[in-house]
Amino acid sequence: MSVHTFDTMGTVVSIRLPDSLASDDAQMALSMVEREFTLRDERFSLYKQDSEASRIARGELLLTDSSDTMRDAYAESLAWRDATGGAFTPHRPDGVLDLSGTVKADALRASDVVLREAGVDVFSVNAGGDLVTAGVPEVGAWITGIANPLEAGDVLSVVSMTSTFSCMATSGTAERGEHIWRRPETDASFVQATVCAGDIMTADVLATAIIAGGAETLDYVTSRGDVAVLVVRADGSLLGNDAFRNLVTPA
Amino acid sequence: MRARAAFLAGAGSAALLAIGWNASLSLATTNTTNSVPAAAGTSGVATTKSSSAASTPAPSASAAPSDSASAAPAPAPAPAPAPAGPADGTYQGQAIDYQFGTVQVSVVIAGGQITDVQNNIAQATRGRDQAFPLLLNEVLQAQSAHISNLSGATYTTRAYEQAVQSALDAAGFTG
Repeated sequence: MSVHTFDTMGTVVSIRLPDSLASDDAQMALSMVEREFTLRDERFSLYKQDSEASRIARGELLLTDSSDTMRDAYAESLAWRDATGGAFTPHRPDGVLDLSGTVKADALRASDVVLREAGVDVFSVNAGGDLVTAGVPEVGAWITGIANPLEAGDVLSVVSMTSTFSCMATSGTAERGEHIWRRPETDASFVQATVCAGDIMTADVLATAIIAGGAETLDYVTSRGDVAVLVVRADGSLLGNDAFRNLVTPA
Repeated sequence: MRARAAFLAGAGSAALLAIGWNASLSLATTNTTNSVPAAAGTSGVATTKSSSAASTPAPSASAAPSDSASAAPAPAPAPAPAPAGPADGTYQGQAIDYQFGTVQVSVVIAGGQITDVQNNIAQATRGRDQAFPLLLNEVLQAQSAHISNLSGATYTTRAYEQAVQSALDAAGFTG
């Protein structure tokens, strides 16, 4: 298994590919993935002054005049806002449109597609702690650790990804950026939420929504029945569902 | 719960959300008052259950066990100097049916202390998949040698250098 990393969107992306892949193919796969991230970084980053998102935020460009890509991303975020009862939202409290909550997951989803289309059937792509996996590596499963938010460098849990739960995202109060906005009435005891799902957008949005919406959103998320969830409370206690417990790697 | 979730998904108003939140709180309270006495002892379950529902304050029924010690025929070998506390052993509580399934826990007592709480049945048996408390040893059966990825709240480019993922990448996942 070979590992490749590159910087983008203010974080680091790690890609794992099997050694059996010819080096030309691997090189091409890597540049395709990097391109998916770069395209989105240039369009959606609010820290880039000349990005389309920054022009919208400054009022120079109306959303109605923006690119199809921008409006599609906005529409998807709005659909998730409705699906989570408002716990997830693309609007910052100051009114600025902030799609950074979905752009990384969107890039991971696109990476997953281009890699499969290129015939790569075993891989993992990890963008700053959110990841997509495919196939079965030599050790039998993609084994993933979940960071302990209360103790840096500590691994809280270890799970094996499956084809049903091939994607994982973790959100927390320590998260970079400001795209998690808690409602004032939200129970603030949830410090980290991990969601495994069959697609990275679902995992990422729901992990963010649990932190933003607290216990009530956790109830909604687990009632979907298609996700595995682990929540860490500020006192170190854990909440999870059966689907998550089934993913825990046996000793 | 399905009705409430659907309702909440559609509703944007804070007032409506507050009602939902209260509802979920009261559900949680009901569950704990039912399950705590059930976990407290083997034979005293029926009486503790009804009395706690009525007026007895006893919030630490599971930890303050003088009644269960006299009633329970200790399933474990006789403790040596144990004073008035419960005998060492594993005490299984009643299976409690609730809205979404069945919950049953066992409490392991050693040296007068609760050393472990085990979920015997914790899955939702009626088509629901609810979150419930997990113990650390249920999620940490580490095979750290084979970990290739780490999931956590997003690290910055700079923080990556100090992050575990950086070490995993440097190690190159030899598997």
